[in-house]
Formats: sequence, structure tokens, C-alpha cells
Amino acid sequence: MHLRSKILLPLLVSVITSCGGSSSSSVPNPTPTPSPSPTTEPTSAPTATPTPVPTPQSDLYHYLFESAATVDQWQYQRWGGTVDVDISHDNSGAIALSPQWNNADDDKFVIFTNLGGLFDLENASISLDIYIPQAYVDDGTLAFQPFVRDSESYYATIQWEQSQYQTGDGWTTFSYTNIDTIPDNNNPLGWIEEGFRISEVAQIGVEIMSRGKPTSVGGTILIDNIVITPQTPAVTPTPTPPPAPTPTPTVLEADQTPDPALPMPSDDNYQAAATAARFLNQATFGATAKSINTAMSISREEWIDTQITMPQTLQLPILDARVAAIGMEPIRTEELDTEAWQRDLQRSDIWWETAIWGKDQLRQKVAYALSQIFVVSNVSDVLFNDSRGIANYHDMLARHALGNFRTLLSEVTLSPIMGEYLSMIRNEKADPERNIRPDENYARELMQLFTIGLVELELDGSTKLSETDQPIPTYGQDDIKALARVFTGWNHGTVNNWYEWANDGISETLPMKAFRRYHDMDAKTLFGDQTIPAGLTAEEDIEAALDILFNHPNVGPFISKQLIQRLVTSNPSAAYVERVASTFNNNGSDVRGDMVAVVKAILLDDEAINGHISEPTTFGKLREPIMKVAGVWRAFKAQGAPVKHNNGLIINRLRMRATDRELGQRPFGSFSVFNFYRPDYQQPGEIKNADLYSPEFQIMTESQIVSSTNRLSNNVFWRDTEEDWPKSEEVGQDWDSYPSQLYLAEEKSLAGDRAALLDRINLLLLGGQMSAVTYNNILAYMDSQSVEGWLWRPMIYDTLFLVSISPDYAVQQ
Amino acid sequence: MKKFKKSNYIETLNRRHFLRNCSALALGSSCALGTLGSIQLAHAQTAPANDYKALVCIFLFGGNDAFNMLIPRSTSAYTAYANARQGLAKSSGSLIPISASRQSGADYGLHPALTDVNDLYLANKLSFVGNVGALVEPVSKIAYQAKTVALPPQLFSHNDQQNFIQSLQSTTRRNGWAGRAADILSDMNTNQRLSMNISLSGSNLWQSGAATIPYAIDPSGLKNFEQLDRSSSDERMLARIQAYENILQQGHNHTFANAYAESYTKAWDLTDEVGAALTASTSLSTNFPSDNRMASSLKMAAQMIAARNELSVSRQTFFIGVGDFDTHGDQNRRHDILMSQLNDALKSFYDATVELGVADKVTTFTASDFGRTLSSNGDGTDHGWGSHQIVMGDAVAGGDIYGTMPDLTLNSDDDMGEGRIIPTTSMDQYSATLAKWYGVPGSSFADIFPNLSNFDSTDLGFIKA
Repeated sequence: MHLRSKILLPLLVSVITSCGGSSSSSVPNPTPTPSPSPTTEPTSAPTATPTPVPTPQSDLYHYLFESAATVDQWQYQRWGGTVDVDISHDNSGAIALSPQWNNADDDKFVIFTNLGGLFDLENASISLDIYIPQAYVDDGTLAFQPFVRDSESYYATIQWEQSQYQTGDGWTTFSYTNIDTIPDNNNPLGWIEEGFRISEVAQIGVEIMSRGKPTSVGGTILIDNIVITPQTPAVTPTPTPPPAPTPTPTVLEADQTPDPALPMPSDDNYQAAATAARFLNQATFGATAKSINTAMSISREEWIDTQITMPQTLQLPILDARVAAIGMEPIRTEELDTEAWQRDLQRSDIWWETAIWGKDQLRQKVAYALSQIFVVSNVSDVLFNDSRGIANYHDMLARHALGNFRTLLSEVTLSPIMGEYLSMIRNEKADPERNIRPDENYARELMQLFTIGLVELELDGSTKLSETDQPIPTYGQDDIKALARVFTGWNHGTVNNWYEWANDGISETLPMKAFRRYHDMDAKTLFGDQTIPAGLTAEEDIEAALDILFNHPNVGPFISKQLIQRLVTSNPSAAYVERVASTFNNNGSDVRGDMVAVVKAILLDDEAINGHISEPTTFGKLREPIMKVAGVWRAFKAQGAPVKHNNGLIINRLRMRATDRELGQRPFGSFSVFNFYRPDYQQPGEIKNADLYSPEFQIMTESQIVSSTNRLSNNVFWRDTEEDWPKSEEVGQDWDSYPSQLYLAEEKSLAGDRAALLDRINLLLLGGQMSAVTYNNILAYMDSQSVEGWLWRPMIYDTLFLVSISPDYAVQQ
Repeated sequence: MKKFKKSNYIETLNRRHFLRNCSALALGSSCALGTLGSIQLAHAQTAPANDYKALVCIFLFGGNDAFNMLIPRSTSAYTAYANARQGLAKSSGSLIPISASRQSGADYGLHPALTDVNDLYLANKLSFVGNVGALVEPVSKIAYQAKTVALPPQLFSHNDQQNFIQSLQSTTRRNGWAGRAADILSDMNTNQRLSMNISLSGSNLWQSGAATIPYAIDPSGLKNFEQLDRSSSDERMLARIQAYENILQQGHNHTFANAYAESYTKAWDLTDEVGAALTASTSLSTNFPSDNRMASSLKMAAQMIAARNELSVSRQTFFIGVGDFDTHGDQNRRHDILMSQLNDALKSFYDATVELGVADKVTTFTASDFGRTLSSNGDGTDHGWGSHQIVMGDAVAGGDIYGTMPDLTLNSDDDMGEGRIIPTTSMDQYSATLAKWYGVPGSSFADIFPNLSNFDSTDLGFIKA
């Protein structure tokens, strides 16, 4: 700051504020100090501290320009003409502006700085000191005015001042008080752009203009003491910090406790156990001896009700804790590309550990089903290094898996991960000047894949036909365009300016936030007659549009049928779909989209329970490769494999991130938003000839058959924790795939009774549904193998392997 | 058994396979396959190998923005292009200029990354086909707006358009045109076990026919079952193999279990057979770029072509699908990378066909879901319709642009809105031109190309007479 105004300023503010109205005051400064002069300021200038320099005790935001570093935080921009400006720090403690005027009619420039937060300037005061060389005063064409911008760069000027009325070669203080946006005589704001929010001012600057001034007129302009005195305390600046209390991570650990004895086929309760195992294969990532034991003793509905009360395994806090444990900062403000791989390996481990070791099996199974409908994927580099975001997206799906579908739609829509994946983020309203129009990506896939599908459906999921027996499209290109306009104006929750990109670990997990400048506020009409009125905010528009989609009669059958396909059977009867869709439409208490009711309707339906008896040749679904591995890992208590990290930490992990290569699919690793397979895929040959759907066959190609079989065998042979080899295993921290050790104590204890061993495996993996021919063939093989000495071990491995790749295990019936 | 002379490996493999199966079973399918395979492998050595043709489809999943691949350079047309594309326009100075005699003197330019494509174009080994798209019948803007014209179902939807482009069918029960072609032509291949249609990208509709299912191999090569290795001499392994073969060969009540068993049986047998053929065939010396999935898939296709005699095949299609072309956002950066990968992949694959002496026997072509909007959504484009394609090989009448190039002025008669360009050439015409070269008889065109009769020309002329 220059010397005199430092003393002068507080007085001025108080004087002028007391006057009530607005005024600009020209106070001749008796001690011009335009040129470098010895300063009496302390030489220990502040180091480069962040701007602004707040003086919180009086709520003054005070730019004193005492050091060059503070000047650096101001930017210069030419706004017209050809003027160039040198900005420097004047030793007197001011910002020095030396324009090279070029005599253009519209020479104009601005200097400005970000306030580092959002400030409410309602009834606030702004003042600044300007030193103007005499030449400008004599010429008189120079004009200047302060201005402010809000969080979205909406603009408001304060008031033009002209050089001819100023004191040459001297300091003048301009002060503006009681700022508001009311257009009256007391308002110091000049031109206010429509949409400007005085409550969210983010930037201050000064415009300086010279229209047609002779080039001979010049000199260095100094500015100092820019002060903002808010009337009301500053509003909380964004970015908002992440929710502070991190939940205590759920402990995910392998089961090493002995299993209860399972009933044998001759036992009275065997059928109950088999029924329970079948049910668990639908409702969880695979039956275990313990879960069969539990499920046998209660009704299906009681089991579901118990599951609903299980605390959700939250992957994000576990991920943060793991990332910290292996020596990285969990939440970075600037994420490092070099850490992306390690972070995503941790995330993938945690996904598998949740699926295999998590207690909230039903919630997680439904979440996995939802992840195959509301697809996001980091196969494309759009989601590169977004592991926190993907973990959080998963947690969001799992939260609403047993919640309400309407809330799920809102959260998916505002998820920054979906925003990035389907490019809704930074999607702006049409700009005729730049000849751009809204991005249609999210609008299209939201309708086609997430809610209503392409053609009108009957309640039972069949295609509704027109009078001419043609399918009826649910929407047309006009609907896409209208909906695309709804989804305009959203960016990361942590940014304050539209064109900012976020590269921090927080933005991935916060809902997107609206920037009204870029939101299309006009009315939108969907489906010919459903109008979203003009003038709604971005938030209101989305809620209105999602209400329309949510209430479309297609959603019930469209979503219900896909969830049945994910959990129970690829070819549900029309009546089954209708029963579930009816529940979706109304849970019995006039609630639409109640996911608990929908999940119960799916799993408690007679077709789910008895379909394998009534439709023995077609009921069920191909076990997708991920579920095959998961089933084996759960039944035989996968212990993980010891991953050795660079900081020396060794922890057992379920390390299976390479499954897109090995299994043809990977959670959150689909090739496109169309998932690993389509719900209406028909495997050529007898399946297609029978007009059956077989989604999971779409990825069961010859190459996948070989690689997924190898993956299963790698997991089985010599991997049990009793063996010497697994005990010495060590997995490199960067490896993307490694077989898990299995805990086979129970199986080994049955080695002397081959039939009992096979019965146990049959019950665990197949709900006792192994066909007689397969059973007999495997048993014959077991009988043919010696079990002398150590040979009973490979006999067990062979048996496990043959069952796991059998056509019987391939189909979940 | 003296016919086994390909290599010791094959001889051992097949003899063991034959003996084991025939001694253990009455006459199971594996046994028959083993015998047949051996005979045909031997037969292939003496069969004339001249009659070979392969069609290679590079499918650019997501919708390639070909309006930034082949760009008008004449002043007025470039201005229209630049006005429509705004921030997505390639600068005129960056384009690689080409001339096209069929476009009556209009100047065109290639995306700057397509340097090798330009070389192939100059050498008459490659041509473009302009503004091809999914059509049932010719469409004018007036007819489109008046809804008086039949259209493919669900224009602008990814999977529906992929289905139409690959099947050319508007029905819900579809198969692909290469699948239907293979249904008709499969007798041309001595080897009846290996599908005529080879996919480097898994299941796909294009290669699926009524009787034809594509054989999918991984670009990284063929792997064998580690614990079901028929070439092993380990007793336990062989016993395990026997047990599993017994299980697969049982009839299974469930339709899915049966289909699964069939697929496993086929995968297993073909892994042995194709793996042996690849081992026996000459290895390629052509350099393919690494870290380019399109190129590594094409490399595997080239290796399969190199093994054509060992495999006893004279007609093959290859399907290479690569993704990420759905450039709604960040298009300038992403599409440049994609064009560069396409350029490098085409160049290496062409060189490989020269190395194998089959440059005139292998015709490569691109296809995609659709073109993209000329207009920008800020930093990307949305789903369009018509688009340009590339055809490559010595059978191609190269160095030209075929078809009718569209007017890129927004709201022109070629624009149905936002720069979604109405195709002026149909996928049926494009595909039929390729199929004719491949050997599909004209008598089958009506079945294979259901919309073809709605168009004047059935041969676009881009194959040498």
C-alpha cells in the first residue's frame, strides 16, 4: 500500500458509510508518490502468501500490494483495441499499470483477481485508491470503473469515473457504499447483467478504457488499497469440504472358522438345505455352508428382512483407509496420474472383498445388478483415476438398491462419475453465437437404458403393438433434444467457474452442482404433451424431468424384467414380469419404485422358487464368469492372496482386476454403456431357435471359455491354505490378478468318503441340482484316482475343478 | 496315420487325441473331429491355395466422426464445413490434400494423422466411400420430414444402428450379412469345423448366420486349457480330460447347459486345431504398433491368414471391433488419437498382406454405428447418420472417393437437423459390392441384402473390374 491512504482509509469508509447513500469522493492526496522512493515500510515483505489478504477482525478484504507476490495474483486481460499493459509491483506498495496505448477507438483492458471464495456484497462497500498521471487528466478521455463477477462470471459494473475530473499526479480514493441490485438512485452498481447474484461475488477488478486518445498521452497508473467491507459476514466459500466424519470402515475379512455340518442327501433336512442354497445363489454372490445353515431355519422373507437391516459395507471409506495404509494420501487436491493404477487396484480388491466377504449380501448383489443397468466404466479413459468416485458410485447404487428407484435416478443423474461417463458434465445450453447445442448423450441413454427403453411395453414386459401391429417408439429425436436441454449447466461440485476442471479426489464423490448461466431455462416438452415450464432452475428441471420418466408406465416392466434376469432367470414368464412390475408401480402402500418390495417380489415369486421344476429345460440363467468365480470363492472360503506393498505391508487381498481379459467382464469395466451383454441377446443355435434370451452367452466366446476356465483352475489347484506353496506366496503390489487361496478344511475332512465330498460340493455350488450323469461321471473319476499319501489332495482339486466347469454349474437354475 | 507330417507337435497331438477318444468311446464327436482334422490338415498341404479371399471388417464402435476424417478443401465447401463444426473443425492448413477424379475436381483433405492412409491412397491401394449409412430406401429431406419413407428402426441409437449396419435387417430376429454369406459359401472351405467367420472381438451380429457362429479368438493369441491340455503326457491330466469329455458329451436336459457343452467342445477342439495351425504357419515379420488394440487385432487376423493353408480354408471374414469412437466430449483430443491408431493399424495390416502375398486377396473395410452431427455440443458431437468409409486392398480400385459427397452446410438438403447427414449411399450397396468380390452369387443378393433392390446401383465400383 502507498503510505498515505493506509492512514486515510478507515476514516473515509466510516465517514462515507455514515452518509447513507452512495457517493464517490475525490480526495486529493497531498503526497504523490508515483516514482520509486525510499520506503519506510518494513523490508521484511510478506512472502508469497495466498491472496487475498483477509483482515478478519473487521471483515475487510484489503489488497495492499505490499509485495510483488500480491501483484502476481492479479491478471490482466485486453478487452478491446490493441492495448498492451505491463503490470508490475510499485515499490511504494501499489499495483502499477503501464499501458502501451495504440490509439484504437476501443482500447480497453481490465485487471482482476479471484476473491478465493464467494462473498455476499449486499449493502457492502468497496473502495480503492487510484493515482493518475497529469497527462490523462489534461486529455480527459481515460475512464475507469471497478466491477465484480459472481460465481458464474455474471458481471456487474460499479460506476464509470473519468480522468478529466480527477487530480493529476495524485491519489484519489473512490468509495461506493450500500451496494445492492435494486435499480434506484442510491445504487452504486452500474450495469448489472441479468442473472448476477450479489450474494455470490467471486471476483473483483477494474476496467480501464481510453477511446481515441492520442498515443502521446500516457503514463503509469497506480492502484492501491482495494477494500471490500461486507455489511454481512461472508457466506461460506465453496468448495464445501467433504462430509467430515468418515464412517468407520466395515471390517472385511475372510472366514476361517469351521463350517457347520451340511445335511447329506439321505437326511430329512437335505431338501430344505438344497432349497436354501438355490435361494442363496439367487440372492447372494453364492451359498456358503454357514449361510445355508441360517437360511434353512427361517423363511425367505425373514432372511430378506434380516439382510435389509445389515449395515451397508461402504467401499469409499475402506478405500481411503487402504490407500493410506499403503502410503498414499487418500484424498488429493491434485490427483497424480502415477497413482491411478494403485488406487484402482485397491478399489477393485475392495469390490471383490465386499462381494465375497461382505455381510450385506443381498444389498451388494442387487447393487451389482444395478451396476449392469446404470453402467459406468473405467475401460474408457474418461474415468481414468476416478477410483474414489467409482467406489462412491458403487456405494450409492448399494444404498438405493434397497431404497427407492426415484431417488436412485436423481443420484445417478447428479453423480459426477455418470456426468463424466455420459458427458453431462459441462453440458451447456445452446449458444447460437458459437453454433453449439446441448450434448444428447445422457438424455438418450437415460431413456433408452436406464428408464423406459425404446418401445412401449405392456405391464408384462412384452412389446405393445400399434393398430398396424408395429412396435410403438417411446420417444423421438425431439424428445432427446428437449431432454438434452434439461441436463445443461452442471459441473463438478468443487469448482467455482464453469470452465474449470476438477482434478481432486473430492469432486469425484460430490453431486454435480448447477451453473445457471449455462442452464437452458426455456420450457421443454417431452412425449408431445408433458411440459416442463420455463424459468425453472437446473435442479428443478431435473427433478421435473425425472418425475416424468419415473412415472412412465414402461419403467416398471423395463427395470423389473432386467432385475429378474440378473438375479433369477433369463426368460421370465410374462406373468412373473407383470407381478414384479405391478409391485414396482405400487408396493401396496401407494409407493412407486420401492426397491425392497421389488426385490421381494422377484425373490419370493413362485417362479423363482419353483421354476426349475415347472420349466426344467429353460428356467434359470447362465452363470456369468464373475459369478462363477464368486460362487467358488464363497463356497470354499477364499482367503485372498498376500500382496506385498512397497512400504512392506503384506495383506491378503482378493486381487482380480484383470477379469476383463480373463473373464470377458469386469465390475465397472464394461466395454460401453450397453453393459457386457444385452438383455435380449440370443445365442445362435438351439437357444435362438427356441427364441430364448441368453444375455450371458454373449461374452462366452471360445477365447473367453479358455481363459475363464484357466482362471477357475488357477484358483483351485494347490491353493488351499494348508499347503506349503500358498504359505510362501507373495503377490507384487502392481499385479492385477492373482488366484486366491481357498480354505478347504471341511472338504479335506471328507476326502475318505468321495460321495460325501461330492454331495457337499453339489449342495454348495449347485443347490444339489447336479444332473445324475454329471454326478456319476465325476464320482467315477474320483473313484478311479488313488488317494494314497498326498494324492487325496489333487483328487479334491480335480473334483472342485470339474464341478466348477461342468455344464451343470454353468447354469444357475 | 502316416499322413501326419505337418510337425511332430501336430502328429503327436492328433494321434493321441485319436487314440484316446477312439479307445475310450464308441464313436464320440471328439473322435470323429480328431480324425477329420488330421485328414484335412494333411490334405491342405497339397491343395492349391490360390483361391483365397478374406473380407476384413474394422468396426468403429460408437460412431466414427468421419466428417473429420475426410474433409472438403475447396473454399466454399471448407467454409461450410468450418461454420458447421466450429471448434471441432480441422484447420484447412493441417489437412493432407488429396484429389478424387470421381468428385469432379472438388478438393478434399485427410485428417492430418492419416499420413500412411494417404500413401496407400496415392498408391491406389485404398479408396473412400462417401456418405454411406443405414437406409431401407433412398431418403430425401422432404420425405424424411413428411415421414413418407421407410427408415431403419431406431436411428441414432447405438446398438440398434450397430445391429442394422451388421444385419441390414429391420426385424427383431436378425442375423448378420457375413453370417448369411457364410451359410451359403461355407462349402468352399475344406475345413468344416472352423467357422468361415473369425472374430477378434467376441460375439457379433455381422458374422452370425442361421447356421454360422463366428469363431472368437483373442488378439493376444490362442491359449490352451492349462488343466485340460490334450498334449500333456501326465496321467492324471489325461484322466481328468477324459472325465470332462464324458461330461460334455452327455445330453443335458437344460437348453443352456447343452449350448454350453457344445460351445466348450467346439472351443476345446478348435483351440487344439487352430493353435497347431498357427504354430505350423510362417510367422510375420511386419511390424505392428504396440498399445494399439486395432493393430494387435489385425495382427492376429494376419496370422490367421498366414495359416490359411494349414487350416484348409479359402474364404474367411474377420471382425475387428474397436471402441471409444463415441466422442460426445473432448473430441478434438480423442479423435486425433483414434485417427492416428486407425492410420497405423491400416498401414501395418496392409504391409502384412503384402508380406503374405495376399494383398489382392484381402479386402479391408470400415463400418461404424453411424456418423456424427456436424454441429458441436461444445466439445464433442452427437449421434448422426451418414458417414464416410475406407476400403483397402489391391482388389480395390484405389485413389478415389466413391459415392456422392454431401453438402456440409447446416440445414442443407442433406441435413435432417443439427448436421445429421442423410446418407446418399446405403450399407446394402456398400456391403453388396464387397460381397460380390468375396464370391457371394448374385442369386443370393436378395436374401443377404434385403434392401438392395430399393437402390439403383448394386455395385459402387470401388472393386477393380
